[in-house]
Amino acid sequence: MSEAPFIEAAEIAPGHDGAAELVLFVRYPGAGRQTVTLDADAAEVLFEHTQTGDVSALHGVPWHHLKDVLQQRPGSGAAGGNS
Amino acid sequence: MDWIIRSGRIVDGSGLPAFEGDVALKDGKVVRLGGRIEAEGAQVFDATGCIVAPGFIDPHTHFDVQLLWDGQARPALEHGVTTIVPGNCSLSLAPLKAGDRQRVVGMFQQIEEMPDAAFDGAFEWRWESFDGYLAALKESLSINVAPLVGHSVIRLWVMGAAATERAATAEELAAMQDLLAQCLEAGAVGLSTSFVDVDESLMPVPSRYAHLEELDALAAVLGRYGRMLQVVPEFYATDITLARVDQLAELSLRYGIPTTFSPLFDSAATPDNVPRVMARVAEQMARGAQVWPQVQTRPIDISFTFEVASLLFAGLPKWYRTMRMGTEEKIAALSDPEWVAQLLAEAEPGGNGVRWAGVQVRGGVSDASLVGQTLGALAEVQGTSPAQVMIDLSLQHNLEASFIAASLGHNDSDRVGALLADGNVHVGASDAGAHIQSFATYGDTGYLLGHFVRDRGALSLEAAIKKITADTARIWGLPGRGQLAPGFAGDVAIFDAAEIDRCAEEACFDMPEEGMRYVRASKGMVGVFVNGALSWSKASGYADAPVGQIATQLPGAASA
Repeated sequence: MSEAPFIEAAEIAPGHDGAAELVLFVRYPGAGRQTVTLDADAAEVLFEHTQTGDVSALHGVPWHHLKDVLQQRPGSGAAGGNS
Repeated sequence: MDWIIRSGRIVDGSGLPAFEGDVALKDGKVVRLGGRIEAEGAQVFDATGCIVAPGFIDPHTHFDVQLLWDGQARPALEHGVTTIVPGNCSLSLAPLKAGDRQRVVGMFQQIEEMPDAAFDGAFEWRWESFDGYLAALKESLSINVAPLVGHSVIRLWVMGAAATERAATAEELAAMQDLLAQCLEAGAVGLSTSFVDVDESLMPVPSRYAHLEELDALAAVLGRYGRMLQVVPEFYATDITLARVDQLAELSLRYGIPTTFSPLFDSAATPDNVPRVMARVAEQMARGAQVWPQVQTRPIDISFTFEVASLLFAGLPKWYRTMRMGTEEKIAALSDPEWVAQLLAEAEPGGNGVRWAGVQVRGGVSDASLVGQTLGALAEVQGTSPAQVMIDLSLQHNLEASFIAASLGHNDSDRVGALLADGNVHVGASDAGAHIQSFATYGDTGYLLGHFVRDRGALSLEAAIKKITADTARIWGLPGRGQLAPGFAGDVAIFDAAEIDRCAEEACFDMPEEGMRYVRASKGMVGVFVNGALSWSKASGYADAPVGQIATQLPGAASA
């Protein structure tokens, strides 16, 4: 088992505001699981980082690594979108 | 009598079985119902074969701005909605100092997608206080309004620029409490706050800078008046939402207030979200807390163009790479037969275009007859594939052709139907008046009564109507509304149960300076009374009946 949380799966899902969004399933050591939903702008940052537009490229990537990438983007820290 | 609604099947909002009879309205109220009622001089509305129900109450709207030039909140009224709650998600148009208007306009534009013209010349902005805003509304109000006051604007009033910089001081907290009390005295139905929303710069709205002590202090004021706290939680993360449910429950129990949160929607990608949240809600409700999750009735559609890289294509690397190109490069790629062949092979493996066949043309095309048609139907006519049609239309219209993939989320009718029927679910979250250039937020009640009641039997008609009338009035503390009973407001929706539904979405250019929005007309609704006046009918359309009231006050206590 990995010692660090990692992306177990990633899916495209419909957001309530009519835009598609990216759902990351983060697996933690000890079997904990968390979902993280990202809007198109945030997802774009990850796809640029992985040099692909394929969600499957995110599988297995350490969560801390992606979190660092997201936090370096302009305007980061304002998670979410609009209600 | 002023009106007799003749020979309908009465569903009075109480949840009791429907019964046949007349409903009599006088001086804005219901005065009698059931049996045959005769009264000399009364006008008669023939409801033969129709359901006669209390007017519907929509608890989650953003009509704050539109009401200033359209007191009927079109098209909500024609769907049978007679009372609306604006001011959700921490944003309202009062209290607001003149110098802060532009900041709040930016937030509204971000959320509601209103054009500049909606704020520039469509109304005279002459209030700062909450009661001043209500006075402006009442000049031409044709629908009842139970307005929330927004936490973000309260913060902005007291703290100015510091509202988006830091926590409040003790003095500022006291000032916010006083201001909230003034708004509640003036007629606010409660306070709205958001842990999620962003402004036009994608920075958090002011309410998100508040510490827990601030929300607690404001909830204490709500407790003095028994008023609602509406919250937008971090709905994209189940565990955080659970924590918010617990937080709201504590505030509800501590101060004896109702609370509600939204959105909560069912998603195939995260199927355990709704069950986990609802289990926590049930636990807290059993403790005596009031934590009402609002659930929308309509499924979620996703709209897109080739101008912007929609995540809808993120599972198709070649497509997504194409969508992320600059405009000129993208057009060149889509014009290259070899490149397109690779795209088609990826989108329609083995020539199977079923994935795209149901996608509809939404707009941005020169031939209006194409709007509403599916790519599958067009492909059949043209002898090509759905994805090829999508590419061709985009190229022909400089990438501005828009498409809609309907019912992609919140679309499992069995799961959503059971959720809507849950006794702890508050049917709402329409967002009417928001996202106006993205999708239509009207007709959710027609969808409830048509799809979930008539077609699927997920709820009885009586139970569904109770949820969107009497239950909503009780949850929100709206006196004298939500039921057909003597002394209650003459708010009535009359519809054909066999026909009730929402019409197809259409682009409409009725915003100030011909600004565009998406709307849905009603289907099956035949008449709508507001405070005893016929305000809309299928036969005559909208009536000029400025009879709307502030619904936190007893019917008839305040007249427009």
